Amino acid sequence: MTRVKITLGSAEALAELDVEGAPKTTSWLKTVLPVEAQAIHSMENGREVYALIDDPQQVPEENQTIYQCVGDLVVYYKPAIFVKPTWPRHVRSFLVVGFIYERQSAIRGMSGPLATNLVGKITEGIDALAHEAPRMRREGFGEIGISLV
Amino acid sequence: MSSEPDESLAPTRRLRISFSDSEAVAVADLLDDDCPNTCTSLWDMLPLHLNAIHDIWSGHLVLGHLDSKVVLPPENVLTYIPVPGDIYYYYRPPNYFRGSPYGRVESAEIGFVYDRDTRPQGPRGPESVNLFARITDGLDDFAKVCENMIYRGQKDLLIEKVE
Amino acid sequence: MRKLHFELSGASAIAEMHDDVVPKTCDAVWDILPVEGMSIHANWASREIMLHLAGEKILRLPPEGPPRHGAIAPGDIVYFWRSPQMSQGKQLAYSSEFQRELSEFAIFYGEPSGGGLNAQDPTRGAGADLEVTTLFATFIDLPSEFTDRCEEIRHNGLKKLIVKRLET
Repeated sequence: MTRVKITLGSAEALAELDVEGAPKTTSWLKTVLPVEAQAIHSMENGREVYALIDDPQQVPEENQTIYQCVGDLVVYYKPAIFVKPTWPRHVRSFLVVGFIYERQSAIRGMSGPLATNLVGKITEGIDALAHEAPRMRREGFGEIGISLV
Repeated sequence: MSSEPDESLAPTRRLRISFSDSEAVAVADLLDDDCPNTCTSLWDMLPLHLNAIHDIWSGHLVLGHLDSKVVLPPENVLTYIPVPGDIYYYYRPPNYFRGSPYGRVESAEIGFVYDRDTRPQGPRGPESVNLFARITDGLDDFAKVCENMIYRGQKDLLIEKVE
Repeated sequence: MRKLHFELSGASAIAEMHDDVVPKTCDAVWDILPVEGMSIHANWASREIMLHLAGEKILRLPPEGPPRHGAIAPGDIVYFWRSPQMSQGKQLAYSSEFQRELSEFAIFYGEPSGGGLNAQDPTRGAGADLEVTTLFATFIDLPSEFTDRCEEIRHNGLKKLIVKRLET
């Protein structure tokens, strides 16, 4: 079993990676961990928090769904306009790792549902994340950390 | 969905959901706090025998049609992705959809979401439904029976009160 | 047309009301001004901040004006009412009084506006018993200083927003 720890402010959670369903994405994820980055709350997908991953490797489409659920750990290319206030000059999407912490959420692209690589599932601590993220929406976002256990 | 339950309120009402030809039994909590009118209306109809069929638009979902006269107002309206275990009521008025899905120009139905990657929808896309109950026990076995319906077809489904 | 002044953390913007299109909504909004509160950034409708209306400022208005079928442009200021019948999951980022019923000014400050999960919400336009969205004003002076403050809310948390009549 391959697990990662996710930290968001004072909250900690554990997620199990889906090595069987997403072998390429889990292999890639291990190469970029640990991640310590500014946590960003989604403006378009509902209850999603994510981190930008600065890595030139292309992550292939794998284990995809447009029906993201609470506790999902997802990897995908997010349209840049949802990250930056204006379109960057030559960047149209950012590679992100994110999680869904409450229902009424689904990942969207510019014109409809966006299929995302389902790389893992949060197995412990989702309630803590589900309280910390709304607190941060009110008080400001800090760092998100993702590391191999 | 709502704030923490007040322990001074009445005990949670529960449903027992079973198939006539299977030992799988699911138990669901009614969401009386969030959806009181729908819960009471459907509770008063129990026990309810439904001809359950697998949905053809929505993913992992089986549904049973009620009499079209069971028209309930929107309540605890779930607009997007349900989670496994959600049970909802849905009504569409006559000629809302193109054609007559499932042979019905008008339809009132109860839907059971048994796995993820599901969205209640029809020919025009996602639909708003009244989320009125959640399966709290027996979902795994219930899901197996539901999935089998894709291949084996419709089943008799019984919804009863848990007294 | 009547004008509104928005002040967000020291930055100002001016909007013009659509008195000619939605006069009753404009009257109702004008009557409760000034309104102030801690604005929060949207998580379904992209570049939007919201000012929740509470207490004596709460508005429960019928729909007015031509249907927009969900289309929203940057600069739109929309009166939004959501019925207690709507399930939105836990709303822990909102004050407890806004857990179900919601009455607010939805302020769209940039592109995309109204995009995201909001764009395909099947209840948009479904009926006034569930939601009312009335476009009642548009920014006519929207400086980048104001939009920068709006963007900051999503990263740094709530900011105080004051909406006043701009008396001429």
